[in-house]
Amino acid sequence: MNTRILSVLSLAAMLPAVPATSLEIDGFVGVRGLLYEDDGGTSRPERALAFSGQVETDYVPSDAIRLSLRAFGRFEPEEEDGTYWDLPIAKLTYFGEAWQADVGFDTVFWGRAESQRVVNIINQPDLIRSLRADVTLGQPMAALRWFGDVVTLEGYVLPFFRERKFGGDAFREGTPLPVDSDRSTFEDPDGSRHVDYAARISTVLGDFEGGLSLFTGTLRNPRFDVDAERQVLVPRYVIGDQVGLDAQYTRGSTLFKLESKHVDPRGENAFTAAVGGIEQVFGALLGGNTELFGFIEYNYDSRGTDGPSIYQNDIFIGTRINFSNVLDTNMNAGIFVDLEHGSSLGRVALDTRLTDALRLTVDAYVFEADDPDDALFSARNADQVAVALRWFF
Amino acid sequence: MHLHVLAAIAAVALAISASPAAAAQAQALMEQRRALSSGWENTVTDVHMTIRKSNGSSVERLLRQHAIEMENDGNRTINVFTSPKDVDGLAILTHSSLTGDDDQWLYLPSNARVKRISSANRSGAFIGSEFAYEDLSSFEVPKYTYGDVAEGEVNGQPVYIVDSVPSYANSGYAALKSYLDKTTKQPLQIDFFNQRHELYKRLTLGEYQSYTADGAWRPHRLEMANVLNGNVTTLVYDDFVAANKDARAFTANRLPQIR
Repeated sequence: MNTRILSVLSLAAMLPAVPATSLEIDGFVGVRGLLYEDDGGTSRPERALAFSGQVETDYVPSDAIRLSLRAFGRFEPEEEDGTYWDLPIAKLTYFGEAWQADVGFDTVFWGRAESQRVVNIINQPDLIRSLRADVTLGQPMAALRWFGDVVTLEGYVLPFFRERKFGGDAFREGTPLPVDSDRSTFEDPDGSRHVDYAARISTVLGDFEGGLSLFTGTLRNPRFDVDAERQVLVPRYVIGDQVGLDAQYTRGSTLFKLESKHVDPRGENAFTAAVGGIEQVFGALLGGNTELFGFIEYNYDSRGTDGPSIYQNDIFIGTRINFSNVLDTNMNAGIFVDLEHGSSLGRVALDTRLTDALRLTVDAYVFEADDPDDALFSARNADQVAVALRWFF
Repeated sequence: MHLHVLAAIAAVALAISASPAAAAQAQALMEQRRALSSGWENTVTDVHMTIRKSNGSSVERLLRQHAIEMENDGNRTINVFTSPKDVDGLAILTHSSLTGDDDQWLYLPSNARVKRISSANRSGAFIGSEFAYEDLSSFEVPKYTYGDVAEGEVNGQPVYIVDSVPSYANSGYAALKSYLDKTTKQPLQIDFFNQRHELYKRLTLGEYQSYTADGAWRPHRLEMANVLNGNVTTLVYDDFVAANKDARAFTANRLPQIR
């Protein structure tokens, strides 16, 4: 046996070297420090430190087949719940003439709006890494896509549900009580093994593009049950159906965007949520190379002020400045103003390269709320600033 | 410098006042330029960009460019970044328009988002280089109105000097002077004049190679010098390799497939 392995090895040594480009590993390692405002004498930590890393590669044995891998890991020395790993992508893809099949973990994005995600549902958002829900956890799936000349059809079988992560004591999730995610409950007896389904039809017609999506299965947003004895919230996941609509019309330097969904959770009243607005690019106004973007969007949720959404009747106003330099320096600032409660949620972010390999991101959130009926009230002490450095290879 | 300004003002004045016969000759030359660069329909190539600032600093960027020529429509291209590593896999799909704004989509690999973006800011700098977005959009004859034709030399090479004015909105240029090689009709130099009619940028194109018997001329080295601030960006193209993607591969819904 040993001699056989040896002979195989020596045979391998005689083969021409595999080109280095055929299996290239990219990724990053990073560190992120998070500082919260003083929340007035609770025992919660006011700072958090986390290390993270990601590797990514793909292998393309033929024009028709591709294996893709993206693995992420996070280590938070002082918070067990902040330490986890994930496979945002680990899949096998088969490309046909006008279709594509994927099996494995994947990341799928649906949506148009700037201020929040309304129709996006395939992947569970990773709120520990991004309060804006623009980072998600990998979703196991079998997916089939068909690319027609006018429409694209997508169908998904989602055999396993990813629970939301709530971090440890330091993570301020904006709930009135801490969340104990170890005891999550499921309405369906199959629990996280309930098989979910999703489909989407989308089109690009000149300057108009849009999609209609359907989802049936475990809704990604949890409900919460109060454990009065232990003073914690326990996530509860319910089954439901969602119909989503997303559309965009691009007219020169003005982009009109809409996302809307109708959700029918089993055992609850159905509701509608939407976001819509305008993005305007002011390129030439500033002269030079700086690009300025303005955003205004209206956010609506039919569950109103009694519902769990903080975006039930809110105006979002935001701006983005691209300095269009070799460091890719850009700034984002935005504020949600609640038209009912007068509360507000503001965000300021700076993102820039320091060198070709090193990237700095500073992210600050400020919450202002003083009406206990306001869903945002629970987050009034969650003001925070995060500084992250990532080194890319 | 003052001479440049005067020359530019003269160029614009001429472009406007050029006789119909001169304008027709100019347009005919540009049509030949377009025809003699076409015919290598579906290609992929690596593009090496060096961005040098007048203070001596310099950075390298690498991208892969997929392109397809469309019949009776503007070319379609996909640029995929390879470096710097933080934007590895980021892709930009452009459908060049013959007359109006280009259609443009961005693919962000970090969250798998395909995003239609506005292409109206044509004069903006591409990733901090001296190339504006409008400089990188494919050359299409109807995008300009044409003026006078003169004759001259670039590095001893006889050329036609063709005046043109962008006819699309939001251009950063008031006028262009294209120096076309008399044989291949390909530009060896293009002078760009800003809205103040100053010579703003000078593009030098070289290392031309023909890919078919009928032409398909492609430059493999482009150097854009900003005359006003002294910055220089160089683009070096590897060989344009024939590919077998059809036009449907150059659509927003398939953008995530591209490598």
